[in-house]
Order: sequence, then structure tokens, then C-alpha cells
Amino acid sequence: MANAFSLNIAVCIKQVPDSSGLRINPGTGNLDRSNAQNVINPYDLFALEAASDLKKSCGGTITAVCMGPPQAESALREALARGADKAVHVCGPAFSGSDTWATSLALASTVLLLDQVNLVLCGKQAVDGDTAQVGPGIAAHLNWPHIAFALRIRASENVLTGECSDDSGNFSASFPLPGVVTLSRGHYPLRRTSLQDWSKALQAQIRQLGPEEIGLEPDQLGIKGSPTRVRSIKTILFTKKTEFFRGSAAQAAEKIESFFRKKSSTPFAASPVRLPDPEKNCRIFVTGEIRKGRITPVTYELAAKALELSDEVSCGSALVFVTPASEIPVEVNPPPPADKVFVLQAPSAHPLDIVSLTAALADFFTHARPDIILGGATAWGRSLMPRLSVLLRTGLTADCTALTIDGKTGDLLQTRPAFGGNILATITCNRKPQMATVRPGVFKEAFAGHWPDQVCLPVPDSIIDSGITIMETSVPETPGNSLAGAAAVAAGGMGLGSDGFKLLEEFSILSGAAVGASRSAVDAGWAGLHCQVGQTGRTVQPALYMAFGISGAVQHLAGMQSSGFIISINRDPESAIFGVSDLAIIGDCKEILRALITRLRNRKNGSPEWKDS
Amino acid sequence: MNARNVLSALKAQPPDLRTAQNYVSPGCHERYLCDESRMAGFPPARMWFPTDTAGVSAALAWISECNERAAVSGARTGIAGGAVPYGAENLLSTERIVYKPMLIERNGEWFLKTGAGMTLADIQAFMRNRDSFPDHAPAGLYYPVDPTETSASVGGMIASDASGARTLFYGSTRIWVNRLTVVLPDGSILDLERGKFFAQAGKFYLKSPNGVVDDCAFSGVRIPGTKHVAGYRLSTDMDLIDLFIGGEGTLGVVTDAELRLTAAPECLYVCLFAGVDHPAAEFAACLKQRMPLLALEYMDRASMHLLRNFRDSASAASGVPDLTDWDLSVYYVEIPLDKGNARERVDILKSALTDSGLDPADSWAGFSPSYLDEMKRFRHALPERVNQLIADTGKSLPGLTKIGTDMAVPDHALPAMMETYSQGISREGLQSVTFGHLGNGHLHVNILPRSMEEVEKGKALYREFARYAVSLGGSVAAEHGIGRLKRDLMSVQYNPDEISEMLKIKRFFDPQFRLNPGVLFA
Repeated sequence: MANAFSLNIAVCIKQVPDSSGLRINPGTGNLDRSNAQNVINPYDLFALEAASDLKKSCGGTITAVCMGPPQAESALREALARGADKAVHVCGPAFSGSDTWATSLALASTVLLLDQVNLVLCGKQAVDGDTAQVGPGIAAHLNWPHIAFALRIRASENVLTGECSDDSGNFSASFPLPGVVTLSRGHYPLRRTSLQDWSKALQAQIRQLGPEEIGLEPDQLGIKGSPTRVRSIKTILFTKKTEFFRGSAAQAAEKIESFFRKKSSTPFAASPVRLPDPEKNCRIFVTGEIRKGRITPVTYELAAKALELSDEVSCGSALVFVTPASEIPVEVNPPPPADKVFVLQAPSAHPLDIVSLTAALADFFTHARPDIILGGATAWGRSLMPRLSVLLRTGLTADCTALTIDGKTGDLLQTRPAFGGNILATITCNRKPQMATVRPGVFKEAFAGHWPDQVCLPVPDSIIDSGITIMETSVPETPGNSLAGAAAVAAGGMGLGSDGFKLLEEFSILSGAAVGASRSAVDAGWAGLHCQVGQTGRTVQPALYMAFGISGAVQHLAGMQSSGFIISINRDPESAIFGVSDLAIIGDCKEILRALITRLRNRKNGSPEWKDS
Repeated sequence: MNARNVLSALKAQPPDLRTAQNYVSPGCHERYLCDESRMAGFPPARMWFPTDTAGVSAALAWISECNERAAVSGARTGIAGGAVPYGAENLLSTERIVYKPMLIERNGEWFLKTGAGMTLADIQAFMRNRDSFPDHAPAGLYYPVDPTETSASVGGMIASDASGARTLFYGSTRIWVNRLTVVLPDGSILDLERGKFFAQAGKFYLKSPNGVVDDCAFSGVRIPGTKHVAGYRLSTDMDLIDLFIGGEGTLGVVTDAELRLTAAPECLYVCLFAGVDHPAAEFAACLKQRMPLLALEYMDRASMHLLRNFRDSASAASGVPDLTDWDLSVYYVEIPLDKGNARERVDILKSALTDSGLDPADSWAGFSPSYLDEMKRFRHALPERVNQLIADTGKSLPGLTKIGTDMAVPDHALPAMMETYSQGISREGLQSVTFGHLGNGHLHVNILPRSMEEVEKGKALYREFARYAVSLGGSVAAEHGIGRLKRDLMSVQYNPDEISEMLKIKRFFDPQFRLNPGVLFA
């Protein structure tokens, strides 16, 4: 209790269907929610634990805030059992149909109403929508700084520091309070709630707030207050034709190897649809991501898509970067397919200081007034784009898998998978710019013949004064190959065992496939958190996904079922994973893995076909 | 003779091997020779896998024609050797009698018609998927009996009158069986509905398909007021359907069943808590008095030690939640709730703990099904660990088995019974863990022998415990049944007159002892 200041923390929670109760109906291939109960979004539990941890060292109060239907009361009761001192339920028919923009506005307005809240904590994303937009959105509405995807947080002397980790390494970010942090599944163990905790939680009063109390007008709420609309919904039936294979381990290994060669090669980059033309009026923009001087692959993918869309509506497309330098180094980066490249030069802005970057971009876009802005759904983009969308007072659709232009209205049709991945929703935005993020690997990357003109615009220091300090601490601890953007992933589950994971690592080194793991395998300590594939881990869509000893819980399937080609190896012919697999091998995954490794070792020089062919 | 005391059997299928042969599987399949008891059976000459009542009827008619015997086999999840073929030329499996269950409504009550080969997991999955239900089916409709092993079959659960943790609230399988199709040893078929056919003054009649009427007269036997599955529950005015429930397949083969359904509680509060040297039995009585409980389970301190060692050696991969700070015995309760009474009941539980000197903070509680799942995983880890330990010790000592008791006593006698358990164990210097259905006065003492000498000591102690349980008005076999392994306990439970009354019933339905030789009776 050495600190003089006190923390008043609001933890925003959401009630979601429990993914452990979800099954894929084998008859229809649909998601069967009939047995799924409502629970607190798993990431929000980490936010609650982080809040309790801070309270232990700094004192203060924790208020759980939930916007949701009447039955969300049970989520608030559980939050009270899990350490919240007070609970606030934002509830009313007027809120229903809110998109992430309207939700973050309502939550931000609620936070302002609470007594001296100086820190808002959220889970990094809700597992039913997976957008990760509400946390940064709240921060933008409050005009507070934010840190997204923190693993651990601490506070001292009015400064909050979050430890983060992304594909480029580990770093810490600090800001003076007030501010917003979203929590990943990090270092906080979940408590066991006791009878005592529940008794207290059930006695507590829950404060109910309606639209009037939080000071919002009807047109700021629910469907009216939401810039995005679901235009149509399409159910995808699992029409996979699974080939079943039984045989010796050696035969299975041979089979896998032949598919590996066929499927895991990275496709050649596509050619852009047209030549860049610096004379065009740029109305479609891509927020470019640049790391240590190199443009990320997803930026090329989106540039290609933006150019394609711009051709349909006869305008130009541009890339915009915020960097300390005045131009993008052309010698190390192939030319992106864009009509123009804007470089917002901000010498004092750290490339991981999302708040400053967003401020610079918002200022630029307010003047440029584009129709469409696309960004990559990387950790960086998922933190930046939602904040930007609020600053530009428009909606954002996360993780789109298809983007097209409506021929009649000229609207951007944004298609994204919904919960469990077997529903595709097409979404439009009734404000401009229309904004969307896209996961890496969804679109094909393309390169232009020569570098487009670079236009450098200096950013005044006053715009980028976020107060955030970044300290880069280390390179990623990921051994071997990173899951992000991997062409092939070899993942293991409970059926593989801890010694099996050693084989998997060896296979990964020999083959170039990245190591993945199911949640239970990560829980068992056989693989690191960064390897976890699934709803609470990473979503991957490599050209080839190999599942060794993974039974196929829905939460795992959600993270990998859109992979190009899926091979699964399991002893149990009834495994759920076989339902989404192209090739189902029934057998002992360890033996097959050993046979595969032997095959690979026998190929001298590590076999170039197996690596980046 | 009147409509209520005459069972009319339908004609058997003709004993035509050609029809029946469709169901005979060539060869002998190893896995049908044993069940969870680890008892080893003798390979029968033929294995039958009929798919419906007519098939079972044809098979039994043929077996009867050939003057042979049949061992009945379900999902082989029993632990008393009831499904292990022994002294029979034929094995008759009901596992292929499967079809899509049917939901039936009658006078506002709901029933599920299902084949004997369906598993509990199948039924639970069917009940979860409301898509196929009529619109007016009430919410939360479910089959409430919850044997731990969900791969158990409907036929097996009925034959052994299975129970589970929630038997405390819902009773055992028996009262949830509304109607049965039973094939008698000669292949004739009975359709029995609860409430239709009764013994009257110790007498009932069976009319065979060719019109011959036989009568059976018997006296009742003493039935303990606890959970109890040992022989036939004979009383002079009994509902005759009850002969076949818990009859362990010795009188006929159940092929179809209509199970009664009920509405699940709106929500469930589950709580695990630690008890410090508190007399478990008195505490159980106090809890049960204060509010309805779906389940009240117990694990003694030795069980917790065993789990802890297991967790320490197998790390997180064991799936056992970390409760290493509890060096205590552990209680588990399930409380049915609705929105209106949640606060009240949680408080009652809290004050029950406080009044007994327990700390409500020393507990693990929650509402959602995820809590339930995790706690179940915790509880199930113990029997698994026990089996593993025995298997490990057994590597150097073949023939070593655990000795798991299955006695239940009335609530008032539980303190005395528990005292006897712990005295007996320490007197003989044996190692044991005790856990189970505290709320039903039904704890399993699992003796973990370290030598063959201890096996013998353990077996003797088992009989001693069993005799004491009976003297307290309890049961020697509360849920596992008698099967082939525990036949000697019949004479501990019943006097010779009672056993001969049961034999009368057996001879009446199965004069040649064709069905399940070696089960219940030698």
C-alpha cells in the first residue's frame, strides 16, 4: 500500500455462450448451441484477475460493467464472486442490436458516470464475435490512451505499465492514468471461487443503468447508433469430403509427405490488376504496417485488394504509413501495388505507440476523406483500426474474408465468418469511410513493377503526444517457425503426449512447418502459449494444417478450419476433427510422426522441396 | 385370476436358426469376454447380436430348443462380472438394439422410448438436441439418473437398477422405468407397463402364447430401506415390472424401454468444500435436513492424499484441478436452484458450514456447467487413480485386485458404520481410501492391498463389514449388484428362506436356468 494514489478500475465484461458446450451437429454440420450455457467471456476473467492483482498492491475499487440483456445479471454476479466490489448492468431494449461502435460508446459513457474511474480493463476480445474492437473503442471515445493484448499489468506512481508480446517480440508500454488496457490470456491464474465469494456476490446490489442515466440519445444506441449493418447471413455447410486412411505408420507417413509437397508450397504472388497511376484520385486507403524497415506481407495483400477495388469504382488506391523516417526504404521492400504511398513522418512516434499513430492517421484521413480504409488484422492492426474508426466516427468490420463492391450502391460489402466459422455475415457501413480489417493470408499478395511515388507529410508533434512510452524488451521466444503467416502448421493435442511434442518440434525443424497446439496441450505445459490454435489462441489458415492427436473441440476448430488442406491423425475414428479434415488418418500419431521424421532425415540436405519451395 | 395379476406372453419367434443366424457373428470376440470387473470369462460357442425384440426372441427360442444357455451382455460397464460369459454356450449381446429414441407424451407426462443397446450418452445427446422435439415439450426435459459411466447401456442400467450421484434426489433407475419389453428364456415376449400388473397376496399368473396358464406363489423378502441391488425385491403385492428391473438379466432380456423424463432444475449450484475432522455422517444429516440436495458426495483425507501424490507426479496433465492446499476430507454438493431461491439456498449452505465449524472460504463453488465439469473431473480422478495404483502393484503380483465395498446403511446408522470401517482398516493395518455417496449412506471403502496376504485380509474384512451393514438394516450391494463376483454376499443379506423364495421366481420364469448362469445364484 505504498502508493499514494488509488486505482478505481472498471472491468468491462461480456456474457457469451460457453464454447465447451458447443458441438458440431454431425448431421447438418451446423453449430449446435442447445447445450451451451452463458458464461463470462474467458478473456474478461483475466481482466478481472488483473484488476484484483492491481487492487492488492495499490488499493482502490473494482467495478464490473456489463452491457447486455437481463440474463447477463448472472455474469455480473460471477464477476462479484471473482473479486469485483460493485457491479453495473447497462440494460434496456434500446441497446439491443448495438455494434462494437455503439457498444463502446455506451460503455465509455457508463465509465464517465462512475466515481473517478481511472483505469478500464477489458478482455482482449469476446469469443463470440472475436472483433477485439470494444476495448480500443472505449479508449477512443474517452480520449484515453490504450494498450491492447497485454499479458500482465502493474501500476506505480500513477503510471500503468503493460507487458505485451506480438510477432515482432516482447515490449512494454506505459502511460499515465487514466487509460484502457485489454488483457490476453497471460500470467494471471484464475481463482477458485468459494462459497463465501458467492454468498457475497448474491447479496450485492447491482446498479441498473438505462440510456437516460448514461446520457445517450436514442439515435446513439442500438441499431440506430450502429454504423454497421448485417446485410445478409449465409450458413456454410461442412461439405468436406473426408478421405479416410488406415495403414501402417510408414504408409501414413508416405501419404502425409506426398500431400505436404503438394499443398504446403506458398503460392506465387499474383500480378496486380492494373498498373499504378499517380494521377488517380485516391479514395481507397490501406493503413500500412512496417516493422524494422520492412513492409509486412499483409500490407501487400491489402494493397493488391485495394487496387482491385479501386479499379471497380474507377478511383485510385493508396498506402499510408506513419514512420519516423521521411520515406519507406525501397531497396529492402518490393514495390507495393498502389497508386501512391503517403508517409506521415512522425520522428518521435514509436512504431508500437498505437495511440500516436492513430492520432496521426486520423488527422490525415480527416483531410483526405477516403471512401474505404483497410488494415491488417495483426495485433498491431487490431489495436489501431478500432481506435481509428471511432476517431473518424465510423464503423469497422473485423477479420473480413471477402471484400467486394455492391454494383448498385457502390457500398463495400464486407464478409466475415461468425462464431464457430459456419456462418458468413455480409456487413455494410452507412458512414464513410468504410473500414475493414483482414487477417494475414486471406488475400494474395502482389507487387508492382516499380515503386509508386512517395508523398511525405510531416506530422506536428502536438498531434502525437500520447504520453505512451514503449520499451522493447526482447525478440519473440517462439522456437522455430512462427504460426503467423506459416504456409504449413503441424499441431499437436492431448493424444500426442509431452514426448510427442518433442517429435513435433523435430518435425517442424526438418519440414519448416510451424508448431501449433490445442488448448489442453498448452494447459498441460507441452507447448507455449504462442503455439495455441483456437478461439482463445490464434486463428490460422495455412495452406496445410496437420493435426496430430487433436480430438477437435469446437474452440480448436474455430481457429483452423479455414485452412487450405487439413490432414488429421488420430486413433479414434469418431474424432470431431475428422469432420473438417480433407485427409483423416486413423492411427498412432506418435508412430506416424516418427516415421515422417525418419523419411525427412533420409533426404539429404534437408530437402529443398520441403522448405520454401 | 383377474386382469391385474396375469401376465400374457406373446408368441415367440419360431426357433428357426436360419432367421436367427443373421444375428450370429462368426468367431469369438475377445472384448465380450470381460467387463469392468476384470473377471475373465469362458469363450462361448456362439455370439448373437440381434437388432430388435424379434431377433432376441428368435435367438432365445433357438437356444431353448437346443437346450443351451445364454449369457446376456450389454455395454460391459458393470464391475460385478454380470456380463462376463461363464458356463454358457451362447453370448447374447443387446448392443445392436439401437434406434432413434422417441419422445412420447401421455397425460402431461413425458417419456422416452428407446432400445436396450442405446447408451446413456446417446440418450443425453438426444435430450440435448431439442430440434426434434414437439414445440410444447417443456424446457429442460431430461433423464435424471446419472450413472458415472455414460457408456452404460439402457438394458444394462435397467438390469442392474443403476444409480449415480443424483440418486440422492431422483432415486435409482427403477422408478424412472415406465414400460419394458422383455423376452423370456423360451423366446416369448412380455409387454410390461408400470401400474398394470401386480402380484396379489403373493400370487400371479403367466399365460403362455399357447394359452397355458401357470401360477406362481411366493412370500416377500426383507428389503433394506437404502439403495439396494441384490436379487429380486419380492413383496406380496409388488408391481411385476419390478422383477425385471435390477434382476440382472436372470429372468428375461430387456429389449425396449420407456423411460420417464422430468424437468431439470433451472440451474445448479455446485460446491466442493473441506471438512476438518468433522463427523461426516452427522454433517450429512444436518445438510439434508436444511435443503434439497441433488447430490452429496464425500472423499476422505486418504483419498485427497492419493490424488495429491498423483498430481505431484503427473503435473497439470493429470487434469486434476489443483487443490493441494486441502489436507482434509472433502464434501461435494449439488443444489437445485431457480432464480428465486438462489441467494437463500447458498446462504443456507453457508450457514450449515459455519454452524459445523467449517470455513465457507475454504471451498470451491460456482454455477455454470463449466464448474460442474471441472469438479466432476476432480471426483472421477480418484477411482481412476485407484485402478492405476492397483494395476501398477499388480505388475509384480498378478492376481492382486482392489477390494471395493458397496454397502449402504440407513442415515442413522452411518456414524456407526463409518467408525467400523476405520477401526477395521487400522486393526488390519491395511491401506484404503473411502469415498462415495455420503447422502445415501453409501460409501465405497477401497482397500488397496500391497501383497496377496493383504488381499485375503481385505476380503475377510469386506465380509465383516457386510455383516455389520446388514445388522444395521443396510444393504450388501447398494449399486454395483451381485453379478457373478459377489454371490456369496447373498447369504449375508438374506436368510435361506428368502433365497429360496427368490429361487422360486427364477424357476418360474427360467426353469432350466438358461439365462445368465452364475449370476445371483450358483
